[in-house]
Amino acid sequence: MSENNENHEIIYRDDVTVELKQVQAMQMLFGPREFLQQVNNP
Amino acid sequence: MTFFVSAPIFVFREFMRHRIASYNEESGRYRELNPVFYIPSKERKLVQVGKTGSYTFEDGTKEQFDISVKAMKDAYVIAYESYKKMLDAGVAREVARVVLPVSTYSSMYVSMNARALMNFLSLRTAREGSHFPSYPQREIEMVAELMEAEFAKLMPLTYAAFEKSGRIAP
Repeated sequence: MSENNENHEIIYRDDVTVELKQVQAMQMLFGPREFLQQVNNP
Repeated sequence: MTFFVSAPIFVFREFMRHRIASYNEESGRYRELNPVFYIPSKERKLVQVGKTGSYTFEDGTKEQFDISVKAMKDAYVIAYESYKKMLDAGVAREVARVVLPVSTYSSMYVSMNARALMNFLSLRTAREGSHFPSYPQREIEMVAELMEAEFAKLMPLTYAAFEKSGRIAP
């Protein structure tokens, strides 16, 4: 929602936004053995 | 992974405690900040109940919500007018911005690897069944939930393993 106050318009927001911009990774490659076993044998 | 996040400054204050990520935030020194401010939605729980270290949040009354929103809007109008007044008088942006509240919206790029993201998610989301329960502030949890959705889509196997291990970063 937005409201005019004198010369400028103030915008009120109740949300946040997230955009995935770039990926430079493969799925988890490192970690404790148990975790990797779960990744490899779901 | 690099995310572009738009949220109030008080969310970024909490976010940047996670030193395992790298951050690149919009500058208030080099550009004029836009008049975009946070007000809670009607669903935001407003009342803290219980003692320090063991409390929960409950819905506020309509009156509490109305008082909060009015107080915030009044403060934002005064703050932004003061900011503009200083800029119009030729004062530097880095000085004028000191009157703006932490509810001013900012944006930043956050880069982190999968392990760092899992650590962030384990601390900034409240989930039943987590091995270690966390009690994040709702606004940063909103960001974490959106990041989690991207993570689940992008790395389904790693995400499933994260869930299976009680949401603990490996």
